[in-house]
Amino acid sequence: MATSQAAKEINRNNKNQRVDQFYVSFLKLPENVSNLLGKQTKMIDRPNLTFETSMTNHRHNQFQDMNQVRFDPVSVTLFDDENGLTRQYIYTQLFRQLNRGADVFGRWDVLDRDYRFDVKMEMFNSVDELIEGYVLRDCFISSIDHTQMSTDDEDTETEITIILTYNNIDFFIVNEYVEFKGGIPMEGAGQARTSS
Amino acid sequence: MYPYKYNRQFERYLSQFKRVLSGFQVQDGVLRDGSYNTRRVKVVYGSMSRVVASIFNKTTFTNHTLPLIGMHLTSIEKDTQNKRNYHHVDHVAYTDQYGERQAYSRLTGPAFNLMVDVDIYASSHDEMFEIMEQILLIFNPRVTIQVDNHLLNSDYLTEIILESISNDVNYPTGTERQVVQQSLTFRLPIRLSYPMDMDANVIQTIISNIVVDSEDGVDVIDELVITDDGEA
Repeated sequence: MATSQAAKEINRNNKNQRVDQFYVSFLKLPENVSNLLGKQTKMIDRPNLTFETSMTNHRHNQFQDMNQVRFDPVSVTLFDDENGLTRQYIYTQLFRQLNRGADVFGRWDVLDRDYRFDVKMEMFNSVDELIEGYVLRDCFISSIDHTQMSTDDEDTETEITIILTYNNIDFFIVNEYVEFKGGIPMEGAGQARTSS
Repeated sequence: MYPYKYNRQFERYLSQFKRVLSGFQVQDGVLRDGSYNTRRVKVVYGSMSRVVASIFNKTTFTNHTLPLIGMHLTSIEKDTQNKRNYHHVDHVAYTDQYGERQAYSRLTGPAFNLMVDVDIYASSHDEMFEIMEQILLIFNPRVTIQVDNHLLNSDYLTEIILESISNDVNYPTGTERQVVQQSLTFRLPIRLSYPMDMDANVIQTIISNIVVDSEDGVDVIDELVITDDGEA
């Protein structure tokens, strides 16, 4: 049923991606928590990266060199539900980072405690087919920002904005993802197919 | 055809709104000892022209018709600020009354703002202020209403928000008699919910089956039949 890669290449759809065609999952947090945060996510940055450069001068010529890649932190804006569930989970994660709570494996006081989590982002087209996705690896919350409380404003709803810092990005196009999910090796996975 | 699913959701929101407005009282006659009786103010659903017409159409026009509160829905607006990710299926795990672990999946519906006008019709300004004062003391700044008592409905609460107040003297069509009327505009944020037994499978089936593409071309289905269990 899914549109094949060949059909996509021939069709060359003129329809652009819309900003609401995405879904975010928070991995390595307790199951029900990560599910709720997927619903509460209002906005998320797509990962921006920069290649550092350096210059080499050689015989009156200047050469540009590419150095390390640097990942910009990702900002996530969450709806803040009035019963405080969303912030409760975020604060629990902060306590984990501060060594004030159990880690993802239930451990309290060990040296190799793992407080980092992963964030999976999936992008869809308008007929809800998965187009691409990526996982931000080893995230932690490096900043948290709350909406200001105010008695003179009756309309604004509070939000929580967290900045996620991470080590790496696992990027997958859909063929690799299908292989990963199904567990069945696919020949030429990750490459564009020109015929079926 | 789509499966027939109708749960009177707009009616439930509006009837709860009406319930909030019904219960205000006005003074009705002073007794010899200085005490007074009170009378409950009726609440009807209808736009101003219809309500006024019904007042004037009565053969015996007495004070017992007034005061009156008329409410009606003026518009339904999309509430994009409150939109939730439509790819999300909310999974809830819970233990039922028999001690069995259960999982429940639900979709989050689209959000809207219901704009509701409330008109107060009174026989005197004094009576008008009497009702206004009582209403405005309640909406400070909002009134929260409950529209469902199902444990798994995450939209069981909503708010009634007073947006604006306007004081009008109107001359309804077909009459020269003025009507002193106070209008209050309220906003009621709501979220339509999918039927409780419907999960993501049904919606995805509808979307993906309208057009069937193949390597040879695109086939359009003439009629789509979806049963209650989500099978097309």
